[in-house]
Amino acid sequence: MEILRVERLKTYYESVRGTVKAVDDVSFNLHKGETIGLVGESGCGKSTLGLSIMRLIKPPGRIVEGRIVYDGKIDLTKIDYEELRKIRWKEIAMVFQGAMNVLNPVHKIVDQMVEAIIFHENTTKSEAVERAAKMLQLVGVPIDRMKRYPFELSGGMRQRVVIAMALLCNPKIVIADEPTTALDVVTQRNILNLLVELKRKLGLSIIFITHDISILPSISDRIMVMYAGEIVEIGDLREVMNNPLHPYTRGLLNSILLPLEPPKPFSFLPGEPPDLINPPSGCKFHPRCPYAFGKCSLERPQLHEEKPGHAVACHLYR
Amino acid sequence: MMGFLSKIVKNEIVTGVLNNRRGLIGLTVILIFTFIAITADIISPYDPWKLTGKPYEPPSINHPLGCNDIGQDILSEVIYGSRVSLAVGFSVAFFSTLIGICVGLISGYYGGILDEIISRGVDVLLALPSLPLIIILAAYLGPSIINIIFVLSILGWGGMARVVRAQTLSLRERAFVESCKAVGMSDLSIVFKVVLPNMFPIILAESALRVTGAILSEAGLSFLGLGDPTQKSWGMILYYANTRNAFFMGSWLWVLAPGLCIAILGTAFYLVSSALDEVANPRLRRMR
Amino acid sequence: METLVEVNHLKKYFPFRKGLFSKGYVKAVDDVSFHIRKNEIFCLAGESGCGKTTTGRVVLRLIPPTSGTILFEGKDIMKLNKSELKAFRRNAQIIFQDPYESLNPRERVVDAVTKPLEVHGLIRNRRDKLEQASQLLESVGLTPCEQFLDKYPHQLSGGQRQRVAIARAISLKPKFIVADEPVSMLDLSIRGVILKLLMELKSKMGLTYLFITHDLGVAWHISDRIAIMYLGEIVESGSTNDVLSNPLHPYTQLLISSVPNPEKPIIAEGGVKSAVQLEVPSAANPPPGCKFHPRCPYAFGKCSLERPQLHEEKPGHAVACHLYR
Repeated sequence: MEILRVERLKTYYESVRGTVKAVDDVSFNLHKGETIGLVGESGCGKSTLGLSIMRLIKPPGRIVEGRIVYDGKIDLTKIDYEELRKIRWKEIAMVFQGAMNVLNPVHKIVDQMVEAIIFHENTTKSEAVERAAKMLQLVGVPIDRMKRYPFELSGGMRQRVVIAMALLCNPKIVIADEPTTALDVVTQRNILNLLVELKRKLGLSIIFITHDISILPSISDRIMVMYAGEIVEIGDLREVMNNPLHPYTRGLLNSILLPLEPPKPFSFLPGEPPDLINPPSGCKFHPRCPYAFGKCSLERPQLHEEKPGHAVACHLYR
Repeated sequence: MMGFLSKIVKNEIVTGVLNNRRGLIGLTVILIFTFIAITADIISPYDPWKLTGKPYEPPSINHPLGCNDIGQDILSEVIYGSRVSLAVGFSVAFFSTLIGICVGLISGYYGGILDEIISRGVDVLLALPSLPLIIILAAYLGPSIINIIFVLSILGWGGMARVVRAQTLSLRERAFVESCKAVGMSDLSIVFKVVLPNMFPIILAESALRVTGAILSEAGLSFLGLGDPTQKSWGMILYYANTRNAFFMGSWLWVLAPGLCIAILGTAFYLVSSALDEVANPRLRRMR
Repeated sequence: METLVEVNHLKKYFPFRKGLFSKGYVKAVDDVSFHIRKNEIFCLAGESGCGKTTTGRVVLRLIPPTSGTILFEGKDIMKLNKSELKAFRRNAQIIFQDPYESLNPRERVVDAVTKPLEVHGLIRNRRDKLEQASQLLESVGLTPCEQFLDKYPHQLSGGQRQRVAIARAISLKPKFIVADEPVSMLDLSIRGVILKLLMELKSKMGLTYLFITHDLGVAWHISDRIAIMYLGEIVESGSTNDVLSNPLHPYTQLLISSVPNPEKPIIAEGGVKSAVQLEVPSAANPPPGCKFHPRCPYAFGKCSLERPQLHEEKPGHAVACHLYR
């Protein structure tokens, strides 16, 4: 059952040098209870995509085109502020990138959580405190940390607090933007464990944004690969990991370095990440693609289903 | 060194100020006054020391602002006054910046006990009531423009030292400064060739504020009678206007003209300082 | 094989004010000893806060040690005279983690890569400078050189900046380079370029690396020997192959099992463990005895009382743990 559908979304930023096409015609859907992993490298537009869904894009950026349909009924790009308020945090919540720095350093944890609850729902302060406490327990933060300030908590602890805050109003969809990026590998594993647990317990649908493709198998059901503002491949996790179709996806997977592997030459993608103001013509990946041919610099490939449930945007297939 | 300086100035800072509305206005006003000061001999209608009119003569075609109590042309006085104000302003800013940079850099880069001692010294300097101290020193040393510049410089470098120290503290932790250490650059080289150039916009911003402060302080001192009577500064004009009953005699332009000039020039430097702040910290630009 | 760098009982404590009158110490490096052989890549691995970065800085004499000695080519680096120190600086260089921060934003590439040569008086004139800069850019793969010489750091991509930083580091033809997480801040798809470059330069120039990283995957593929650090101590060391294939210390085992492996996804363990037990304690107030004991599944009595010493459990493979003795 589909809970979110993004159709032909375009989010552009106006800058001195030109228009940055951060999200350039993106379409996908999210099913209830599913976790979709959105992976792409720095500057590919994945954070912008997340912010667009939450309608948090501020000038000089704006959603230029497209629809974001929630629950089959509401188009998030068209509703006004009052309706948006009812949806933001209560239906769709976000765990921000660098979330640990998003907590206000001069307020205690409990105060910030209570403030968030009261802003979105009409409860009394004591009720809000109780809910905050329950949520902290759910994410594994000991109750005594509630009365502390953010700087008194470790990075992993703060990330849990931020996750708890996102879940305060029992949303159906959570957009997690690089929640483990700045964490150590052990803490990262703990946070991923936590998210898997919460996903199961609360029946969440998650859009998990990351640049590290190797952590996605821990948590996602489907995976979406983004490059220069476009989705280049999307499909079931195991299918994409085992049979990557797009050359970029293959390049990414080859670049993963794991301990205990047999020795192999260092693999990498040649060239540089593309300029989003003046992207390459046709397929934006073609300057770096080992399989590029004539058509690739002329025509932008469309996302099409190559196998059931596995779509790719590449001229190699058609 | 000069080539290096001109490259920096041409590229970032000047364009930053010119692109900023406030900076543009401020810089224009400063340039106008500088032009007036330089060409005073040519554009001034009369020699401000000569008695070219009647005492308290009201404004007329010959004397657009009228004459003062002994018959000197006020417009000429005001034109020549720009020289003193700008001279004092720039000199004080220059010297106090020089002292402030040296103290701030050493204190910030080396840290430790040296930093503690210097910082406490600066704290004391900043806490001293400056106007009474300036008055006392000026009265003691005697009324001359050199003494005034000296006094204002000696008492005015504290703010710059603090700003430079703060910037040094943050810059010395940055990786590119560490890399200079790893290469074997001497501390002094690092401080003056790497750390200092990265602070130019902020130093200029503070400097511009010093000019405003100096102009106002000089005006204040002169107004109180401690100024240099051999100079035609705006403050001296105001001193005579006050002690020779300008208002009583109806010569309000005698007061308004120099007063307005002080205010306008002081504000102009403040505007440039504000524009430089935004060049130094681009985040301020977005906040507007 | 001869030893290039020898670190003995290195300690680096940072004092901080605990109360009005008491002083505490952050024991960033707490009695660390290791040696690096000529032409090898020695890896210092661990999570953030374990002291690996501080160790790297001290080894290059960028910050002074609290106690302990560091020998470079047999000489104590804290006791060098002026000319010896200059020679040391020529022979030992560093590559930083953040490719943007490590370059002076006001310096163009041509100036940045030749700055070390200028400092040591090795540039004759402007033409010489251009030539040397071009050669350096070529050796790191930034070609055509003319395209890059006049650029400022903000005009380059992360990978390009890191190459400039590497060019700068090799300009003096050093013997030893400390690489502090050189690829952590780069996109996954370009890490391979930099790692490959580092390996090529090593064989071309006969370099020795101290490679600092938190990424065991990178460590496995690039280093010959490795030392795992936890809260300022080395808990296990040996050849990379031995240590990562047969980890002896429980912390090493934990680290390896936490590396995300696309083939073996992490299955959620039942129930949410309280986060407290899983957190790294603060370096200002470490646990007594073995610093890892609160998180160790095998801890027993002795572990909270006595700090285990690093000892050779198998030839060439040392561990600091009471489980073995």
